[in-house]
Amino acid sequence: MIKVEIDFEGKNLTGLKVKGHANSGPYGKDMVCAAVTIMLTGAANALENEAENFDITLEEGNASFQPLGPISEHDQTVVETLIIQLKTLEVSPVTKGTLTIKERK
Amino acid sequence: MKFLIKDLQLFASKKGVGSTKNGRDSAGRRLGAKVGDGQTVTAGSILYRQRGTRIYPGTNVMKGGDDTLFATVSGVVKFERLGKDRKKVSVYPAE
Repeated sequence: MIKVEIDFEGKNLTGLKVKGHANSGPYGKDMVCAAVTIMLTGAANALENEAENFDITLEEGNASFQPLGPISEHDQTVVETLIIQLKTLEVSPVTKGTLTIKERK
Repeated sequence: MKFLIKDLQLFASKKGVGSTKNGRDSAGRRLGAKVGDGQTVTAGSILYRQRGTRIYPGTNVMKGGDDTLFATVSGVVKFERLGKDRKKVSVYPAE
């Protein structure tokens, strides 16, 4: 199961961590894993000046987005879109049980 | 575009990838010592099961066809050194 942990301070994101394995299919055919990989990679590319504003890790079984300070409205939208996409996976019947999201405010 | 997708399976488990032709083994042969040093045995008792002569037959002990060592008299078992780096097992009749 993929575990997503999202930390907020008020409305501002302070950290997003993704760990684990989806185990929704054999390696190479794990569709949930592929979906999460694409969402995270796409979001990383969509951020503005991500090199200065974020500390990003994208590696096997472990990804994290760590803002290095206040983030722009644009980046806030990108992150919110990513979270909505992950939540969609979490609640959809087909992918239920492969991913859990824990939010800390 | 800074981040490219090099592996679409970042969050997939790698267990069960491919299969192996290994995974077979025979049952253990329960080799080794069957009695301890200082233990009293009767004639014919098996003292040590082995493949080859890890331990050599000593006094009142003989070696079977499968290198098993057994007592030829009743008595007390003694594991002793044989030369520089070998061992033997003997049985000494109790006084």
